Amino acid sequence: MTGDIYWITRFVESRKTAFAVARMCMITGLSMREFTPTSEHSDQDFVRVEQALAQILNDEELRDLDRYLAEETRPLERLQDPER
Amino acid sequence: MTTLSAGLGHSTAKNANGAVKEAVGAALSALEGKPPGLAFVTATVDYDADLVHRTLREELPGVPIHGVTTSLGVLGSKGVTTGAHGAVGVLLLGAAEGILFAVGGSELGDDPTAAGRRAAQAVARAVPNPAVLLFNGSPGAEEDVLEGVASVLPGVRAYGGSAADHAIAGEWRVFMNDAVASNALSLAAIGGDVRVGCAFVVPYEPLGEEATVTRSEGRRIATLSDRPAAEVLREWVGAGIDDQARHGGAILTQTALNPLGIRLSEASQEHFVTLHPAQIQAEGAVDLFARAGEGTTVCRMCTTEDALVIALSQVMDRALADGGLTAEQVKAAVLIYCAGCAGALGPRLHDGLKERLGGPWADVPLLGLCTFGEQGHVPGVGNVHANLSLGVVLFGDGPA
Repeated sequence: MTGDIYWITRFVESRKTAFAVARMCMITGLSMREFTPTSEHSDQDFVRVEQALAQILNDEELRDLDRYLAEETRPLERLQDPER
Repeated sequence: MTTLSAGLGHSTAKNANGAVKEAVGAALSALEGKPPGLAFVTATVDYDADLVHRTLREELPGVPIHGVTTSLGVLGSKGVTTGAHGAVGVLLLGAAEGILFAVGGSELGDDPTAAGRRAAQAVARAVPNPAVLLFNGSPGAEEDVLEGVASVLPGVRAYGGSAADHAIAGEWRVFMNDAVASNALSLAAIGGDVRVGCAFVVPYEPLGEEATVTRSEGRRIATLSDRPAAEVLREWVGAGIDDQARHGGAILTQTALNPLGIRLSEASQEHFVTLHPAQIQAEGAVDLFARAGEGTTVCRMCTTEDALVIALSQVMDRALADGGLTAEQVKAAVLIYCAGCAGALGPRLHDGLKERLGGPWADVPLLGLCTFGEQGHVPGVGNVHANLSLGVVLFGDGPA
């Protein structure tokens, strides 16, 4: 898989706080901010991130994250503006 | 009488260079022209630690530097300071006639006890009778390092916390006076005409269940009462670690409120050293952030999020009582808060800091760190290494 953790990190940073991202690093054991839009990640890494999200975000925020990911991971948009 | 002065600065600027300059600028400004005698620095690992140290050295030529990286953010009476690019905090204690400061650093290498001894010898030359030691090193062998320090400075109380990162990925660093290292100790001694108040609090209670460590090596417990350690831990912690107990895996989050403890029978008041189970190995061994030797009795401990917040007040109150100080007399403070507790509390830590330290402590320069292991003094025992604990050192006007 590619890029998902980058977009998740961006969402958590903007919707919650930098502290929440640091806490996700602690829970997952992953340096979340090192992921880029083109970073590959393993299924196992993604499972860890999903488990951490359940502790960081509430149900509404998780639904918003789903919508955000559907939007942000559109290939054309990513190519046009990877820092968006 | 000599008056202690102090200044505090924080920054979350985009780069390490700018962040250190901003934090030092704020701290120096609070010193109102008095020269700094000691710089205690902490930063998250988002910043390049070498650049943090280099900039600090440029900004504070000749000032002894001491510190470690912090997990999650920099703590203070206004909450947690952290930013998308990192966070740095600098506490400057002002130099004054009659107040003594010294720092000693040493890489741990393959003999952590000797490293502790070297660092202690370095500070003992300048401050022969320290009022307190600030002990900050890399996680892994704190028990041995403390032993080395005690061999040079017996009976001197040491408080501190171990270097930390966010992801428990070995990215932590120790800021020594003249270098940055990943596996090292920095020791700061403060003495002379200064009053200190210290406290070391374990915000956990025993639940009654006990087991004996029947096989262990270092910080890994293989068996408890002749059963696989993971099996016993699963019974104590609950279904939340079912998967890890069967296949292995990280259990830090699940055990932060349900750790193990060792009752220190020699302590003059009841005291438990808490041990944070970090990882279950596939074969059923449990890794901790502190040592539990064979024959040791470990207890099932527990706490609540509320207790982890209330402990912020408790540790400050106990430190005040220890130093015979009132909050108004405190000129500076260092707070050590276990990163595991901080991770368990999440955003409640920010609110708890503001609620518990924002009142009488609002104007006190207070630098707080989230650490991967805490060290403090237990009366009747000496300086100990523990997990999931809080420590505070308060500085006021002397004499001690």
